[in-house]
Amino acid sequence: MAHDHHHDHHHDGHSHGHEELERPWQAVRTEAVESLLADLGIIDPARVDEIVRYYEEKVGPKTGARVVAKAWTDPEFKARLLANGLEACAELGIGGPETEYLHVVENTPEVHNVIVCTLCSCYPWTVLGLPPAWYKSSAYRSRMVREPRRLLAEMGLPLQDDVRIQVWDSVSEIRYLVLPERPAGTDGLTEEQLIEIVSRDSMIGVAKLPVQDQGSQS
Amino acid sequence: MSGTSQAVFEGAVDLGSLEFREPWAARLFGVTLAMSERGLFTMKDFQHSLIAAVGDFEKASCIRDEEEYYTRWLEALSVLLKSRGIMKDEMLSATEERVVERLLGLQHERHHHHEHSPGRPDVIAPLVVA
Repeated sequence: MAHDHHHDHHHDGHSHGHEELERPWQAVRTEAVESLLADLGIIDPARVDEIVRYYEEKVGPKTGARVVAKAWTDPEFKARLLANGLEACAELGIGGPETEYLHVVENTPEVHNVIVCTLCSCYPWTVLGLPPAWYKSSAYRSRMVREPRRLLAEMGLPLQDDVRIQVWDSVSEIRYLVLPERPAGTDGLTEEQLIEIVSRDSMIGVAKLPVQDQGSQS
Repeated sequence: MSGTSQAVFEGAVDLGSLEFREPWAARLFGVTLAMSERGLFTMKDFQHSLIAAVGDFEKASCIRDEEEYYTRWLEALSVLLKSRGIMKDEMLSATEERVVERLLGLQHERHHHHEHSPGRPDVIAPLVVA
């Protein structure tokens, strides 16, 4: 890589002159902000702990996988999910205050959906946890709009020319979730087993789920 | 073909797990959500601020990793806190000085088991498969 990611950031002219400190200036700034807000009684550090733990440990792609597996096995749930993603997720006890609308888009052999946030990095946190780093990169956010077919192919998902690609931009209050196609070879799997095969990337729309060998889950 | 973008993309890291790579980013994320819970701003307000910070940065550069991304997040939160009159520059600077003092003290104490690595762990996986 041509760039060194660990160069010093000359930010806002805030230089502390503490070259020996082993923490980046962002760590210092963040701690200062938190400490100030706690002193002012505005936030409770214990609550910050809880929020971080929740997003690191409790919510993740497994949450979205539960939604997908349920939709694959329960057509009525799927209909409700496509009609109102947030309400359907709430049935499974999934949700959170950050999402205002959740629009679930279904992949078919003819239509492939993929999600992006062109302006920042909006992501369906409540169902997928925190976004992968590449999702936030300038490259992904610009190229998925400009040349989705090419980028998807580069990411390991070449699509036939007759497959229509729909790129959903999460800039407004709407968050999107891709409902991937249920792969062949999964007829005999239980909902619990299906959950295991649904990947995060398939729910972003940058991957398809591979055909499963019956009786194997590799 | 945008050779630059391509190189940039290869530089993007994949989290693999959902843990924050930078501990400060986790706190920052938590502080932001905690503030919105308390009604000091909505996540939509924050999003507007983040969009502005990202947009400014991308006029001259690209976001390539977690650090660059969450740095924009930190800028966005700082701007929002200032514009809402919640936090003033002088207060922040003074607090930062105290934080630095404290961290240097801790660092000194920990000197014997000096495990901290400033670099990223070697779990970075190239996303793009040719």
